[in-house]
Amino acid sequence: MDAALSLFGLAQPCQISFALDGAQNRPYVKVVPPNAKGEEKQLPLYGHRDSVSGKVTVSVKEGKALQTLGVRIEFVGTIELLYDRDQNQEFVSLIRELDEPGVITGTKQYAFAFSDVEKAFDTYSGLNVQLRYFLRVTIQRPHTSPDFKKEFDISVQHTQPEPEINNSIRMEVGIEDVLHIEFDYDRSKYHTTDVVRGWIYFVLVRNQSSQTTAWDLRLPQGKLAFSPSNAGLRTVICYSDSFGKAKIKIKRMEIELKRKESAGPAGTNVHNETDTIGKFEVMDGAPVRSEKIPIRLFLSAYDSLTPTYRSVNNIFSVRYFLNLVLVDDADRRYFKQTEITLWRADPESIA
Amino acid sequence: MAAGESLVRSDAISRIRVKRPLLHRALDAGKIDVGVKVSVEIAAELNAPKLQVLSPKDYYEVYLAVSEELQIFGNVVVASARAGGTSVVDLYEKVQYTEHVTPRLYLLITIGSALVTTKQTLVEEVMSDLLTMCSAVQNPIRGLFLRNYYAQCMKDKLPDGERSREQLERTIGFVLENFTAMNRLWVRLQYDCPPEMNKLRTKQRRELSLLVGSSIMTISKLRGVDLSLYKTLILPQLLDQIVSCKESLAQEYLMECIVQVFPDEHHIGTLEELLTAFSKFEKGVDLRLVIAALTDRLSRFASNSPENCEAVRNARTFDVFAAYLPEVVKKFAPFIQRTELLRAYASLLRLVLAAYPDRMDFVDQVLCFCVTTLQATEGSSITTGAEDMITTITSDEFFEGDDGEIAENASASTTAKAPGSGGDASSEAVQELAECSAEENVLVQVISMVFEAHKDISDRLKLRHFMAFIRVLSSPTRRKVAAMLLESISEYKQCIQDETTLEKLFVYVDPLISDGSIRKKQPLVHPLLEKLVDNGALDRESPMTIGQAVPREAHDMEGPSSSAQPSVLSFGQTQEQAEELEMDAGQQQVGRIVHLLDSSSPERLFVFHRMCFDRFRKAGEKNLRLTLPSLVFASLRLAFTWMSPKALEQALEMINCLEEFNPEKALRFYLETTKTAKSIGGSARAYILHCIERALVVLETRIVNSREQLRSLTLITSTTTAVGGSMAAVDYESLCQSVVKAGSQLLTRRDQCTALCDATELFWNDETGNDAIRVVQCLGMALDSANAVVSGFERTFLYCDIFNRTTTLFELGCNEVARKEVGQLLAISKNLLDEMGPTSKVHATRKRLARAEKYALNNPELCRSFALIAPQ
Repeated sequence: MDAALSLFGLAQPCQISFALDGAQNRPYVKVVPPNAKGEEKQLPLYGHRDSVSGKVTVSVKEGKALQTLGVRIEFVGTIELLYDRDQNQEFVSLIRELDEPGVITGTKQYAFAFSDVEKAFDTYSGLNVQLRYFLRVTIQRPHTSPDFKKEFDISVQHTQPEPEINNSIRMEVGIEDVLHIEFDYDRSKYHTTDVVRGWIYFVLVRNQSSQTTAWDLRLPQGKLAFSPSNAGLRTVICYSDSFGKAKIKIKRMEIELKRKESAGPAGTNVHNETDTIGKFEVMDGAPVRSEKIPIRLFLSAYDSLTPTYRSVNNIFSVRYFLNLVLVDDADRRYFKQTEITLWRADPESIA
Repeated sequence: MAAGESLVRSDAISRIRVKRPLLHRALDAGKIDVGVKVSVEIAAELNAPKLQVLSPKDYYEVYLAVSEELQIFGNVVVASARAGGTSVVDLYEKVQYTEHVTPRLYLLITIGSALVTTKQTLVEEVMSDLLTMCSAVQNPIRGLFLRNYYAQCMKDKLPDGERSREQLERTIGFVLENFTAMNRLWVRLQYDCPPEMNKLRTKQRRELSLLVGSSIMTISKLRGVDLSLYKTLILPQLLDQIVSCKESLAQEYLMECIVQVFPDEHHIGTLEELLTAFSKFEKGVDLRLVIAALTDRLSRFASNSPENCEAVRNARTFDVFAAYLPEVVKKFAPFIQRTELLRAYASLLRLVLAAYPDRMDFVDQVLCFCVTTLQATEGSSITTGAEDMITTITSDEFFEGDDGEIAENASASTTAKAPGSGGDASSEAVQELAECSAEENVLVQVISMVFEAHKDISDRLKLRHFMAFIRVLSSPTRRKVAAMLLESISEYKQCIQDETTLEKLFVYVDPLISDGSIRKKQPLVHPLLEKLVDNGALDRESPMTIGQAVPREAHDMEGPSSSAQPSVLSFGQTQEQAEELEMDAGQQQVGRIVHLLDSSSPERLFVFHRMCFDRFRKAGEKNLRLTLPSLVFASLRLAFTWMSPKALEQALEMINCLEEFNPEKALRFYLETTKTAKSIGGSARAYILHCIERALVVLETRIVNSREQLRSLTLITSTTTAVGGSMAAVDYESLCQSVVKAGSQLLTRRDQCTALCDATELFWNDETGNDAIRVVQCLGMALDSANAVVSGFERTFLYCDIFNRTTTLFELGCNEVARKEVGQLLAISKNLLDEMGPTSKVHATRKRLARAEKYALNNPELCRSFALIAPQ
């Protein structure tokens, strides 16, 4: 590309490169762009108040001189709404002047440092929204010549302390006289490499009784068939066929891990996007009454997990759900979605 | 369908085989992660929706192929871990990322097994974790095989050897938990299908039964499982599961497993638990099978060594059975054929006989159970309770009353049951009858087992319920059983020592004794048979033809073209003859009762004989011909040893009864009696004359066969000679006259001649003195008779006889018989023979003649007296 451009004399006359301090010792985070567009990148990881320092090297092609109005570096934190670039918001923007206006020839190196820079949010790359931190070097050019710019992304992750209150999630759902189940996730808050443990207990299953009644729950496929219990009171949505008794023959059961991303500043249209991160079969076959099925879901199997974000800078939220799905032998799906809170633990604290 | 299935199976297996090199390459290159991926793919074959059409058998083959690959994977993991390359613990987590549950768990078990092998984690932890996770597979077939894989992988890793009891208990807990879950899946398989597939499912489940049973086997093989652990921990849980699964196939199979797999000592210690469990079983369970499994096992155990036998007895085994089994049987009675119930008791009986060879009361109790069972279920011909039996046992009228009752029942049931068309009712009845005869067979088996084991008749008489027992049988079978009672006695020990015992024995064998008369008026005792005859469905000998349906059929098969009627008829006749023969054999058995009587006290023996006699007489006189002889012999022996005219008189009374039906025997007995009377002497001598007179009367009036007449007369003659000295001369004289008269009145001349020749003995012997005139007279009459014989050959023969007899008498000192005419008899005979052709008979007679002549010629005095001239 550069070579092609240089053919027309349009190629950038200079190269800009970054060398961050301590880059070798930093952990790197793999960033997968949403929808698999673009390339996977490995970004150095910074903590909340880590200083970002390093050197910028500007090298001008031999025999050329680059006239500048100055060289500066910025540290930027932005939230970009992918559906509407206009609404991008920079919540951090720090500038350091690196050079006076003049002429650059040969290679020139500048040291820079943004000490204790506040990085309030985690980097995030979602379907509709992106939260980025990056360094931007700008070589200002006189007149109408476009400035030379180069961006360099870093990633930021915050670790959180273990939540103090972490109740289990317990629910009783069912279809009256057909299926009652109780399920139990051991906690409501998990760190991102945690294990979800729990039980599904079949209180009542009518799947093999009289053959006289045809099975017809008259449910549109995928419709919510379970309702949660509120404050210990069981509320059950009841479906039954015209013959009175209904049956259900469960084929299997799975847990889906879902991410719901809501993007858009307050007061504008909110763009919601739900994305199934993983499917995990927890049961094969049709259980009978009083069977207790174990759940053990390793979250570490899914590397795109982030913590739950609630209203990041009032622009976007990311929430996670466990969706318990029962599939019957006519491939109808009955499900119950439950929100879980994800948090990022200090890897050392959970090791 | 079947072809499709095998295609699915072979497809699945070949897909697995294709992945094998991938797996190996990955493992060889040390890429465990790739290995995991390929292994998951391999294990996923077991989860393929296509496989749902497979029968468990086909699925098993796929399972084998998968587990083979997984084992390889597991071994590589172990090797790699030992080399320090792989963290099995990490792998244990990683494989749990697998999306689908079935392959995930196969992998988890494989890695878990590797964990245990590399000792990175406690066995118990792994076992418990895997067990928990396994419940995620609720599909019966997949679940069963998965859990089987678990059991197979853990089998050799169970904590063994050095371990605490708690550890052992926990281990057992795991195995039991897995067993419980497997059984539940196994049972669910049955209910998990449409009703029309029930049969197929049952068959498939049988194929799978081994998977479930192997857990029980695993427990039994654990070292350190003692009785207390078995009794308090293992068995209660096993039984709880078996009972609560409420499914007959499972209950039947698993109970058999328990019985076969655990040691005998454990069963002895937990009989109550086992039997209580039986009582809670579902109605479809083959009760006989499970009970027989248990009792047969214990029987074998008990008969192995005296110590074992003692162990069985110490545990009060029979008491436990007696306390529980009737309840169990009662509960099952409505669902199970009675034959099966009876067989259950039969197996208990086997145990009793093996473990309690001395406890007749136990045997008796089993008989009582059988009877009670039959009484409790309708359709039996019994109306009165077994308890009444004992009180009425000495009543002679007992059987008649009984039969009357049965007849009433029979007619009642006929009228009540057969309102429809005769054909229908009868075919139904034939079926029922077949069942009845099966029942009887079992009962006969039962009783013959008892007899086999208890040869001593006094033991057998201890069976208080015997009567009640045989009352439920049909009349021919009763007879058979009664005969068996007597038959199988190998040695006739004199074991009957009092009247009650004897009386009891009579009651026991009553069907045999009372047979003749009762059978005539009530040929079919069984109400069903009665009914059949009423319907005209069967001819008279039906009880036997049904019982032996096979020979009859075979007979019919012989000539399908010829009309069936005659063949059946002739068969019926042979049947009747066979019956007759069988009955005769039975009667002879009855006769042998005499040998059982204790002879130490003559007075008592005398009474015994009286009782026997009375009893036999009641049985119909026709049978006396078979039953009496041995009694008469015994009585005569008694009279002789006891020197008692009283006994002699009793014997005579018996002989008198015999006259009509067995005159030959009676006659001989009379003659025998004279000898006994002679040796007793005293007043008994009075009987001598009487006896011989009776013998003569019998000869005249009852013996019709001419040869027999001659034979009898010969006997009378010699007896009279022998005992003649013991009677008054007058009596002797008149007897002699009677004998000579009888001789001269025989049918043929030849017989007359022989008899008269013999009669000379009466007048020329040491006992009664010599009377030459009478001798000559007799010989004269004999010669007259001989002369009157038409056949020259016979005449020659008789002449020779007369000549011999005369010369004998002459040598004994009776000179008066020396006549020239007698001497000429030889010459006449020779001439007669010469006229006849040279047949072998003639040759023999000629030789005889020559012998007589040669003898006479060697005696000069004879030659002189009879004017014999030696041939030139």
